[in-house]
Amino acid sequence: MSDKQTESSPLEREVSRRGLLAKAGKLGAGALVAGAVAAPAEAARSKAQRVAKTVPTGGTVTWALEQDPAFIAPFGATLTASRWGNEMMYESLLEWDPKLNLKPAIAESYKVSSKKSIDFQIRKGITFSDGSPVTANDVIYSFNLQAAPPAPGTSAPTSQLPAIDHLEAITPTAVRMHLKQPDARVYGYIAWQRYSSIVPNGIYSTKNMAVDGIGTGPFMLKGTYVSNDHVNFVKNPHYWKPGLPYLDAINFPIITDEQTRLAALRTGQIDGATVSVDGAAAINGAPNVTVLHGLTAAFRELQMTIKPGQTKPWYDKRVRQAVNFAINRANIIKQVYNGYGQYSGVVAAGYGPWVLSDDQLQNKYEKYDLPTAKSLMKAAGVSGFDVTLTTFSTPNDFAAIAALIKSDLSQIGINVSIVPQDTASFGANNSAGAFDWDLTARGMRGDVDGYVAEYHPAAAIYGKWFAGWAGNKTVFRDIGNGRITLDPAKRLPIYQDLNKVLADECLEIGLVSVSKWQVVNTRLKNMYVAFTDFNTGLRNAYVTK
Amino acid sequence: MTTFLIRRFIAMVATLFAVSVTIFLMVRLMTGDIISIIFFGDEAATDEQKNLVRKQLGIDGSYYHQYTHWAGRILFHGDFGNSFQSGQPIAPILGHAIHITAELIVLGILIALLFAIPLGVISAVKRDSAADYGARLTGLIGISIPGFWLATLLIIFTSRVFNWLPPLLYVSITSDPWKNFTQFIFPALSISVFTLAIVMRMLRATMLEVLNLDYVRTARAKGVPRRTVLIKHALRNALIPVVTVAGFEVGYLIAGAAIVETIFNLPGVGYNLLHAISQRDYPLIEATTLLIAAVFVVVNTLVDLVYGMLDPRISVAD
Repeated sequence: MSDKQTESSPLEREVSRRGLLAKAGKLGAGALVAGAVAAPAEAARSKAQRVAKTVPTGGTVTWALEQDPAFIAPFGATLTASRWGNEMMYESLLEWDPKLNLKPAIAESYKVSSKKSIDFQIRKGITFSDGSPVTANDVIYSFNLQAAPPAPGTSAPTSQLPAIDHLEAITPTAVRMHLKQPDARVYGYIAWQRYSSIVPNGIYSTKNMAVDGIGTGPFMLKGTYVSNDHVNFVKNPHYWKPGLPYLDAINFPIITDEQTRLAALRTGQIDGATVSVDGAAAINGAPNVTVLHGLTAAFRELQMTIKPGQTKPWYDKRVRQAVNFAINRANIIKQVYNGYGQYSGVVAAGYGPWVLSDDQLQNKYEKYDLPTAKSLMKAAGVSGFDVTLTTFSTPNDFAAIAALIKSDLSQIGINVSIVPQDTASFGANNSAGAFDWDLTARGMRGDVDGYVAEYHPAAAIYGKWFAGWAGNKTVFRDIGNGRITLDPAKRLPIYQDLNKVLADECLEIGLVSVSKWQVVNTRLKNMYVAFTDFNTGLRNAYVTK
Repeated sequence: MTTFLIRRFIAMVATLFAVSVTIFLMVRLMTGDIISIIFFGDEAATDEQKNLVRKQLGIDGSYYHQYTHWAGRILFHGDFGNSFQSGQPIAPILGHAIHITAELIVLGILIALLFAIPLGVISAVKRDSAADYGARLTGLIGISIPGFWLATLLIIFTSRVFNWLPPLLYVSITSDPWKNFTQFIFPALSISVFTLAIVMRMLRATMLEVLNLDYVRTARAKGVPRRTVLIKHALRNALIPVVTVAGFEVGYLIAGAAIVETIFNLPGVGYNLLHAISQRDYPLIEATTLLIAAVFVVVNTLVDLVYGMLDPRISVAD
């Protein structure tokens, strides 16, 4: 299959995640640090203008969304599709580049002012798409709503929210964020932007935010969002990044059927869409389309419950380890994903430096090693057992992986019964801990802590999944320390250690990180598959004719 | 007639009540609710938080309380509630959707009747001829082909061969009639084939029966032109059971339209229902199902009325 990864925007002005976090790290020591996040604005502007001259501007792109956003309000525990429906118009104080490096956005700089407070300086001259300036009151209003989202957002995204206590205006264009405790998650939470959009003060009382909105992003809404139909955007004339966006407009029709999306790509009715690996294979080679793929934060894992007062064979760590070594992940990648995929631990492969390396996973922690698996079963005194594995009925890859796992585990005497369930049923059973084994998926998190938080007894889900687990002091300590250790140089070894301990415990067995496939018309340039599962590349995309 | 209408109205109310109770219970007996979707992946969410959202959405009390609250709002305020997913009122969502589905169904029925009636008549009149075999084969194929499969095939065929697709965003008939027609003709064709086949086969069978009856033979013996005998005497009587079948088919067409609407990206009633079920959007499921049931009941009442008009021997007063 011929495919290519497009490069990131030529306008990227990177400030490394490590660099920014290094500044944040001084928060723990209580030092006052000027977070000179932004490069000098004038230099960036002139560079941007030089680049813009070489990039064609104008034109409209039509990008099909595979799921209805339901609403485009920015706050609350929203669907990923809701973010697809509003990501062109909303931004936050910080942002990520395609490689998850932290960058300034609405805030041009920040200053750590005490152990538990950070000052953000709002970018000079930045306005919302209606031309009104962004002020400290807008930022305060937005963060207040993130913690207590109004309808249609029904709940704050609890597990993603860092320990923000409140914000106060220092000047009309600067805010001080007060934390309940030092919290390293705050930067990723903001930069992810999924839950941290900045909107004009009081907008919820003047607009129906389910279908309308105003932000600082490169595009602004054209009309309103029409459920199950479309959401369209036009260029924001007040956008703060010089020369951007290149496009005049982006239309997002909602096309849920994949065959229809593929047909629309063939006929040029749409310029791009996300498709399955099979869909990508089917359209590959068609004229005027390019197939892109890239790793996303979505990975598959095998999850086990350990309940108090019960005795199941996998409550013995050696049995769980045997299961881990008996699963042939290379075969899963080959058979289910046409060879495109990567081993994953408990943290999504590709999630910066916070993961075990591919080499460590393939050759040690997730090595396919049947003799070791058999000897571990023998050592545990278990010859075999029956177990039910619940999984999603769609997309198809879950059932395919489950079938391969069933086949693999039969070699060590484990008889797996597969029970596919729709999303709502699976979600209900999963969150209630009403399962023995789940083949599930994880997604993007603002911070690495989001991948391991459930192992801490303070997490709400711990009691439902792992209440019968004897526990592991290293795990508990690392999670607690990792959350409050703000110096990334000190934080990184904590998570490297935690990754290894969790890979050894095998309560959640990482399987594979999967590639996301997007097909674009050849006229659409500068698009890339975003690791975050959003369509961020469209912000800086352009068309050649 | 008045008694008949009153009786049918009472039956309709009873049917809708039974449907409302049944669907109300069925959606709640399914595993999982909107809460399990909203909070999926949020490992820190507590039961208290989830229960608070349940309370906000009105799905926290007893079934009896929930049902009377929901039914009361519909009966006394005409309020179907808001979608759990989008937070938007149900009435405008369904108001938009019903236009799309109604147009699709009417066009589907028209296509089915347009082809089924001539084919059925020809097949009966020219029994065991090549035309008869051709028509019967068409009927067999029509019954065997699932609408969603034909829809997918049409999409793939037109895009690959003609590099063309119907418009993928809804265009109303008033804003652009031709574009609207090009958008609806293929989905209507997809959902019509089954009805076409059923009606054609039914019409053939009844025509064969009618053509052998004495009054038809008498008409022919009296020298009435063949065309007049066929259309005025035979077809009119043969159409009576066909009307019944066509009435029932409306219900099946609505059900069949759900997937076809999804394939052709038409956000009609079925499209909304499918998505509402997967998202456990109770108010939208309940309102949509009630709407479909109401249409089904009304259409069947109309069929009974048309019955009387087609056959004076059948009196609605009976």
